[in-house]
Amino acid sequence: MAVTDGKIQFEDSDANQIEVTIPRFGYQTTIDMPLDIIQLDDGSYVAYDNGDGDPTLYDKRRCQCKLYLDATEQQTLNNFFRDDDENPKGRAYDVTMRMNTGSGFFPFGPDKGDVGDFATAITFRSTPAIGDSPFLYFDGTLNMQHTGTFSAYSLPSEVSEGDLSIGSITNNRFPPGWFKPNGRYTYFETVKEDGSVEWMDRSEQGDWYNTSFEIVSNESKAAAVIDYLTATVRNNTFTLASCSNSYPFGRDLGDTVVVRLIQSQIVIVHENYNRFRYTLKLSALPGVAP
Amino acid sequence: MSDIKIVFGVKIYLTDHADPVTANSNIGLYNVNSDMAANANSGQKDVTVDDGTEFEAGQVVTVKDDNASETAYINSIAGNVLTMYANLTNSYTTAANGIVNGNSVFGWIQNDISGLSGNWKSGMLVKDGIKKWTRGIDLKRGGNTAQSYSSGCSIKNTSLFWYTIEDLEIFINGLRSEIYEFQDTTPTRVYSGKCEKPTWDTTKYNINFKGFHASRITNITKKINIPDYPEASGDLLDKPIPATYGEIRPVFDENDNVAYNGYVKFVRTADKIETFEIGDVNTVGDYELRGDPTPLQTFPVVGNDGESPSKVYKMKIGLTGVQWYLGGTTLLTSGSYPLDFFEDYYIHVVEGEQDDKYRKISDAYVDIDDDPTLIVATVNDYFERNLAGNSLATAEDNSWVTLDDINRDYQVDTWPCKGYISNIGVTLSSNAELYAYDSSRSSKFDVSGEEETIKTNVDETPLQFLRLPEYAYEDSGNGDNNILNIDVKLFDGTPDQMNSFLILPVENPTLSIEANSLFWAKWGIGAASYVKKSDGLYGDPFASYTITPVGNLSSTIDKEYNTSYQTTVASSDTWAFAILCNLPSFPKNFQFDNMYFGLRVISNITRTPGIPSVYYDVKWRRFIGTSDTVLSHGAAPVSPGVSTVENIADQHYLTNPNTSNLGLYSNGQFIVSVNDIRYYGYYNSTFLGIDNEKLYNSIQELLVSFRPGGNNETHIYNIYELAVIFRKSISIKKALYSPFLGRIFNDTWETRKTSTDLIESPKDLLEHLDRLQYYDDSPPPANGWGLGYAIGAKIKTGATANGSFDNTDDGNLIVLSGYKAANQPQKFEECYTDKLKKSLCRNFHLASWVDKNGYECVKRIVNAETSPSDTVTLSDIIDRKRISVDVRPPMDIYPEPFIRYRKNFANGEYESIIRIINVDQESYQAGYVEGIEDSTEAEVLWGKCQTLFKKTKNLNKPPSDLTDSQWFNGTDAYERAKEYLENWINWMYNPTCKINVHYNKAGQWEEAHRFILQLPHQTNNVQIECILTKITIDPNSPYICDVEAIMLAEDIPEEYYIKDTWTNFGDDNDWKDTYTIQGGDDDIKDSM
Repeated sequence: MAVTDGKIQFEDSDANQIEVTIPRFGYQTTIDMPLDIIQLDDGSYVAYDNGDGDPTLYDKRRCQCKLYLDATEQQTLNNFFRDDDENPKGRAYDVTMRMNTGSGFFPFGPDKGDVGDFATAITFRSTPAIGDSPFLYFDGTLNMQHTGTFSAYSLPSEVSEGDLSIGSITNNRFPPGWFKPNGRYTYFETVKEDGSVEWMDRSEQGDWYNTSFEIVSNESKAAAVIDYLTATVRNNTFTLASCSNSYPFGRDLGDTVVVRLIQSQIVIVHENYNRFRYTLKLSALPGVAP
Repeated sequence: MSDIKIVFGVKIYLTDHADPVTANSNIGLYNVNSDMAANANSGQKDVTVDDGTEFEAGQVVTVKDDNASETAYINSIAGNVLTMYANLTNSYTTAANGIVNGNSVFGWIQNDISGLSGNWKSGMLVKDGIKKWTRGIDLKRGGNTAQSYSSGCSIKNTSLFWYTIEDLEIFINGLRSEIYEFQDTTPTRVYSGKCEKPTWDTTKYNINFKGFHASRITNITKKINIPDYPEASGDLLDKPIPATYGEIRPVFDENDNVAYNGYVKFVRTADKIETFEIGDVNTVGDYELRGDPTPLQTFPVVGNDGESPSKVYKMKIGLTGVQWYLGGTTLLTSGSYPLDFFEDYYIHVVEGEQDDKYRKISDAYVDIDDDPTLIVATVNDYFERNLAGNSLATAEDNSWVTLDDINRDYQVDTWPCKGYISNIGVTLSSNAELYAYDSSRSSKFDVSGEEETIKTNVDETPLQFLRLPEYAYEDSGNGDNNILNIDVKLFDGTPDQMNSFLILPVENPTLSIEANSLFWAKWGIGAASYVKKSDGLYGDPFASYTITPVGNLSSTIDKEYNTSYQTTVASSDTWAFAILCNLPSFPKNFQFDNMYFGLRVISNITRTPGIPSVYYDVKWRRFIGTSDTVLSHGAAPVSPGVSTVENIADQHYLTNPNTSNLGLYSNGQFIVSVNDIRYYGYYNSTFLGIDNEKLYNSIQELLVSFRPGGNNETHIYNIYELAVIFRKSISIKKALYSPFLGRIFNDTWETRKTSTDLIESPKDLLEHLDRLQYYDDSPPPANGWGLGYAIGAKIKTGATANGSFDNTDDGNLIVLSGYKAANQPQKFEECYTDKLKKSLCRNFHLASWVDKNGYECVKRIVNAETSPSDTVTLSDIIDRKRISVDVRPPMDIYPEPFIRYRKNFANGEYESIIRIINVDQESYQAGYVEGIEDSTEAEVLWGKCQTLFKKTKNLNKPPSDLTDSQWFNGTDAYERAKEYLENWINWMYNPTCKINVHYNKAGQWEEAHRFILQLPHQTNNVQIECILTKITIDPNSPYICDVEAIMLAEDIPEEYYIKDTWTNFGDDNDWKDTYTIQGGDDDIKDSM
């Protein structure tokens, strides 16, 4: 059965199908890469990729989304995930989640698309309460864990938003919240009871520079960057080229810095139509030329 | 503040010098090597390399070229010249690519430093990857050895470090680990240890470190084993050889009673009895004997040399088929051949005349011409009676014998010892005083106080050490004075039971001057009518006598075989010539089974006409009552004749007459000729019923008398020796004992000691044990670890170095040079270095630790101030809220302490004690302190303990490691035990504290570091000396050192300080600077 516009469809292994209204914007996609990252005593970071560069092996993606359903749809949804008769349905079974082209719902990241079938494990523990705003709608939450292989998806053509380059993905929008450098000059003071200080200086070679920033981008850039980071970069280094005088790691380093991702998890919020927001944490490799 | 960069690094040394791994700088793995800069010849120690800085002294290396290689140990380095401990075995050339390889090393540093060179890699240690390291020693109970506190490091494992090293076959566990502090680019070692089992995950490879203490433990003795002790039976195998230290000898009280049975134990290491057996083909020394029939072990005696008595016997070993070959190929058809093979064997009579008797063979031979089936053997000592035998072995009571090799080795130590001493400490170079121990006998005693009788814990102290008279054996041990091989002269039935003799000259031999009738009344010798004719001569009142003395009676007790007192008596009537004498003083600590009178007298007698006769009488009597007969013997050789009475062992004489103990062992009358009749055997002069010291001491005097058998005789009495013979049958099955001087240095310790000196100072003993430990960069001693010094032993020395064994600044340590520790650990588990070191430290209040460079250190920790230079004030404290002071918990205070000392090494019991009791009483009374001679000292100690009781309100039982001393067995045992108890009592007053300071303040402090603590609150702004017990050092921000320390107590009751004045409200200067632990009455404060 084709999916009705504005709906998402769930289908069990016996081809039982239901449809409910598509989740609201603001849903959150979490990408867990199997990166074990650790900071070293000289301030740098290293990481081991248990997937050995292959995101299909051990990367995990999940989505948490909210649904506003009327009593009828809620009953439909409940029945699908509550019923424990002999038919599989959705109770303790993986289901196929299906969307129409242009659904605008990117449950597992902008780089994986909003159309087609997604093998999914749905966690739907109990029926939510009906509310008064919106009146007579149930405000429910679905937790989805992608369980299969992603279907092929062609990234959309990139639409330029600015001058920030993240590796090979150029023309990203400059972080609206700017950069938040986080580094350390490795000399340490210890204040004694008389107010005097004992110093220990590890030397400049021990200094380190990290930064974090929040990316807000359109679908095409979000899809490109997320795909680049998860499919190409992973635990490798890449170059962050920011706008002039933006000093992503502070004044000690320039605008273009070889960096390493120091997070194994990327959380993407699809805030609104064509607007995705996510945070990146990077460590600079000061001695490495871009 | 100067801008000094401080970074920490870790090094881990592999053990691959023989075959270095492939270096991998990506993981900080470096080879340590340098090409030779010059040829190095065999027989030299020096090896010149291109870069000597690659190496350090004490390091193990492989010297090699294309043709040869060997392991060597670097003793010292001068520039590029490496000097090894030993000469090179091979020659090496630069042309053949000579090289010196050390162990490869991992070098990881927290981060790079400008200008840093060498084998260091940053980017391996994870953040805070060098763990805190802790140094610590538990001094709560006094002296101790440091614990093996830990550290560690974590390096990145994201590049599969684990796999990389596994591929290289690098196993981390047990590798030496070191932490370095870099000030700028200069590294200083701040921690040394060994790696423990690693753990890892995908990001981190964690390596824990542990101090050297546990890894250096060795056992300093060995168990009896078949390769080293082939003559040990199964009963002896796996028994340990003791280790013997110091001077151990008995102590006698003012009444000459034994106060301490101080004898070291020689354990038996050889006891096999190997009976000679003839098989088809037998090796007998250089000869091969082919038997007929076979097998045979028991042989008949078929004759002797015809002498009476005889000590040469012929034993038939087969029939006509017996053949002797030389070298296994040449049949011997004629000639006489010595059989040295049998010289260590005994003839053991297993049936017939002299059944169960043993005699050692002095030589043997076979005479082919005479009879190749006969072995002719001469015994060392005569049998009591001749063995019986004829050519057909059909003699009445024919003697059948076996030839037994009886092994009797005893060992006191595996290490060279100083040697034997007498029980009063005189060095003996021969005739060691040996004792057996009779565990079947014991006695009890109580220690009495004035108020009550206190039953002590040592009331089972036995008095059963039995001295082996030196006549019974010969010591043929080795030159190390640690092995006793006794050649037993006479067994008593079994080879484990020795029949031994102690022979002492009588005392005060004098000619009898008893009045006429009194002589008869006392002794019943001669006739009632006899009157004194002259001194020593009694006879008929109406007859005339001539008496001609020659010499002095002292010759009868001079232990000279050939000097005598001579008297010629002639008369037409009979007489009695009489000598009176006393028994010698009873030997100390001696037991015996029987007592005999020993004499050697030769009488030349004539009578014309007729056959003369001579009667010998020996009697004893108490102060009243009748006399008892010891010897009554008569002989009548044809005139002119000689009568000999002799029964004293050869060894009694200062010059051995070498008679094969003819007189002692042969038994009865032997008629050499009608003119020469001899009477031998100690058996015939028994003091019947006298078998203990009390009965012995009841004997007031002895009479030795000589009489003619008839009238008209002339007797010339040559009296050579008069003595008392004690016989004791003693078990020598398991062990022997002796006063003894234990281990010697056996090395100069880099010219610091005399090799042959006795080790007895506690700090020397500690260093000795340290040197016996296992050091992984040291070649193993020749006899194995623990049985020889490690060449590369790391010992802290130097006059001023902290923790040095030679420190001359520390008076508390210097005083130990005069102390005399003694001990004999006998159980294998007691002989591990850690246990011995710990007990030594406990007994002498020592702290023993390994410093940051791996060197063994020592310091004495007593309540005596040393005015250390380090002071900690509140200005040094990082967080005052974490300062704490902990008074000693009541359960750790023992108000009634006691110390047991002077260990009996036969039964393991302590024989002396110092004990303090009744501390809950209001005031001191005599008897409350047991074992301290000085009443003032006793009262002072009791008072301190009474205060401890007030602090705790309980009477805890102290643990045995505090009460049972291991080392107070030497000649100053009492002083050491008393001092130990005083130190222990004082120590129980000491609280502990915890402070925190910066690395820059305390980062280099180690165990037992002394410092002054002065805090506004916790010490009331008074300076208190502290001894560090634990420090945890953090090499990461905020670089805090957490310090725990013993505070030398300020609240020991002031009346026990040696102060004559006291100011109640004074200033810092009133804090005591010194005090004397014991003082006299004058030292008690006069006012307060």
